[in-house]
Amino acid sequence: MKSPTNTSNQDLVLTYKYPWDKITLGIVVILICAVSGVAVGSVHIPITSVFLILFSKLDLFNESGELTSAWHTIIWNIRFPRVVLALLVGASLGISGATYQGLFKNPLADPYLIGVASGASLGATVIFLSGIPFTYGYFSLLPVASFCGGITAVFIAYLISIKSGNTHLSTLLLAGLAIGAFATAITGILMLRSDPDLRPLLSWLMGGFIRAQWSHSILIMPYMIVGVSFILSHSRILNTMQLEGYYAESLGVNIEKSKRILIVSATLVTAAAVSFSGLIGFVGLIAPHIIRLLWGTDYRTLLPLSGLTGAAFLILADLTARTIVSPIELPVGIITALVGSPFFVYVLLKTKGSTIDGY
Amino acid sequence: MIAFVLTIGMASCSAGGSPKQPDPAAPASIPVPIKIQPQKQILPSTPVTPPTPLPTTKEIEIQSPPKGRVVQYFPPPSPPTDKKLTAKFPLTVISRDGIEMIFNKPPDRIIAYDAAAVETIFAIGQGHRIIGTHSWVSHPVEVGNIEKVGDAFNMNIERILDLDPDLVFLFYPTFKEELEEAGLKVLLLESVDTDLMKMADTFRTWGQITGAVNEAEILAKNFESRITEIKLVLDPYHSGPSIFQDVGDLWTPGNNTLMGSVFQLLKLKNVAHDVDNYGQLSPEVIIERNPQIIISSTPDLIYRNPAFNELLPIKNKSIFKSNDDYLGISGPRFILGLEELANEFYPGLFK
Repeated sequence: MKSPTNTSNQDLVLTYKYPWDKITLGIVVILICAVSGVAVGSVHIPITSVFLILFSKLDLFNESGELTSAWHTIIWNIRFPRVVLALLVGASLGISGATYQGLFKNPLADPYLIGVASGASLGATVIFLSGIPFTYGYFSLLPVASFCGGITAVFIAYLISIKSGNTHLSTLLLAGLAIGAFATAITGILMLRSDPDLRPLLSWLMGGFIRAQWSHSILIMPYMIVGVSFILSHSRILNTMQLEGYYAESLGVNIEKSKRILIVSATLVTAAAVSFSGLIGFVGLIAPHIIRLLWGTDYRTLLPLSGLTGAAFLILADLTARTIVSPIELPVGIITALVGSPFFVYVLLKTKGSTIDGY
Repeated sequence: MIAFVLTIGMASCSAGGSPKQPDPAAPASIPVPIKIQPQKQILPSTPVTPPTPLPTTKEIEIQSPPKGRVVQYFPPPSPPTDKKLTAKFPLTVISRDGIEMIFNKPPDRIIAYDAAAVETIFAIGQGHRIIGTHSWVSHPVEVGNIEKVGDAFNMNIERILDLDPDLVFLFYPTFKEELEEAGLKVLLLESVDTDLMKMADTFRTWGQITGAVNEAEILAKNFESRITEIKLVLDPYHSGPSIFQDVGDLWTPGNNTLMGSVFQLLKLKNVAHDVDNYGQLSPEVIIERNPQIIISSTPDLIYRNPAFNELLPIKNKSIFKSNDDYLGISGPRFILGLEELANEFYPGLFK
């Protein structure tokens, strides 16, 4: 299964140099994306004003009175929180996508295929339709509910794969698919059975950042930090998992325990991402693959760079979604699929020689 | 049509009218039964640039419509029609796709798969003819006894066949072919689209179909006169405040929508004037265009978003919660929703 040319496996035992250069490159790219995301929008604001607004706290540059204050609101309360939320969600989806692919040793694994996202949306739907007020200051029930839904889906899938007497990961993946389909069906029933006014829920399910606020980023941050640090601290073990089981165990790694930690962490991160932005497909799938094709399959490199790629990609996708048919916005999922798939195919063709082996 | 645009323009445009005036001045309605031209001479085109809301002290004489309005559509307050109409059969009705349908007698077993149609038929006293509808129709209360043969997404065609209707009325053509193949008579009427006055025509058509022509005429006349009154009252004014309607997650009606026509009638400047049909308006555009009025079905979501804090309706806690029961259904209660808006935004102007 492993190609002998795969250098990452050799890295396991050799000295490993942390890819600071690539990380720096990624951060620079993200900064450029973020600045464009803040500078460009459906309301034209001169770039100089954007910087003045960003670097001052207004007032000093109040040339055109009321207009400036509107611009100030647009920059600080609409574009900036939106870019930050897109960054966090993109990074979460990228990292959790890479984790799932590594865990399940499957190139198609992403939060939307293995039932996590469907479970998470079921959780969020229940909260939506129950009519419980779900925001209390800086605490929101929404990430909690979507995490419960997501982790339940994964947990049931995990139980099924154990019960089948065969902890092979493809069983887990298939069980996840089935659970996901089931959760989607329940979501559908709940929606059909409830009050006709489903518009907020439907647009949440469609995904997007039109409602992004600073508080959303603050709310999902703790979940992300915890989940991502667990995942990153297990990146070496993810490398080990890519080896055949007996070899991994001979290295003294408790695979089962790490697997559980990774599943919970990746689910936590996905649920946090999903809770305010809704379902945005494709990011978790393509971001890791792009990195894999460009820079190999060592998870110590792959995980952080997938996060950075996902973040940059989602910031740009959201920028496109809100400007391409201005003043109307498009659902960001349309853009991620529309732009993501051709780009992905391009990367596939460009790197024809190499393989996407090594999940 | 051009002449009409010009008269509107002459009556309402002032020299100082802002060039950014977005109103495309498309007529909200074409056939106005009561001529309102003389009014324009009595009240010359005084350029009233209204603060929000329109000045309420201004005295306006209204000749034709009666005073002391009751917010109730039936029985109507409008002048009763003097001549009695008689239902004619066989009757030819032109359906939405231009096909002529012949009715030899009023249908007795109607499946009315549309809330507006059900309300209209009940309002003209012919509710007993309806034997089925869909599960989201809830008005009037008698609908509780009518069998629901599906919802907006599904239709139980077997059950419909079992009920043996002599007319199936649909709003969306989704199941038209299936029903017709099963040998049923299926009617789709021309939709109201953007022309408010067409609603009255729809009432009349239902009167003809069910034979209750006089009741329908009263309902239609009532509707028309109430629209005309709103027009008359607002006629002397140049233009009203700017408005943003949120139907959920910043989706908003733009041009070519029924609500767009309502805003035109009420002389409200829709901030989504460059949106065709419905679209999700960018929040930064909303802030830049600074609506003076916001209508929303979910005001809380807007109040809670700090980005909108600087907008007047948020500062004043005056987001108007739209009544989707009225304005969401182009039936007899639509006018109630319209008048509710008119009274809300121009307090004291309508007596």
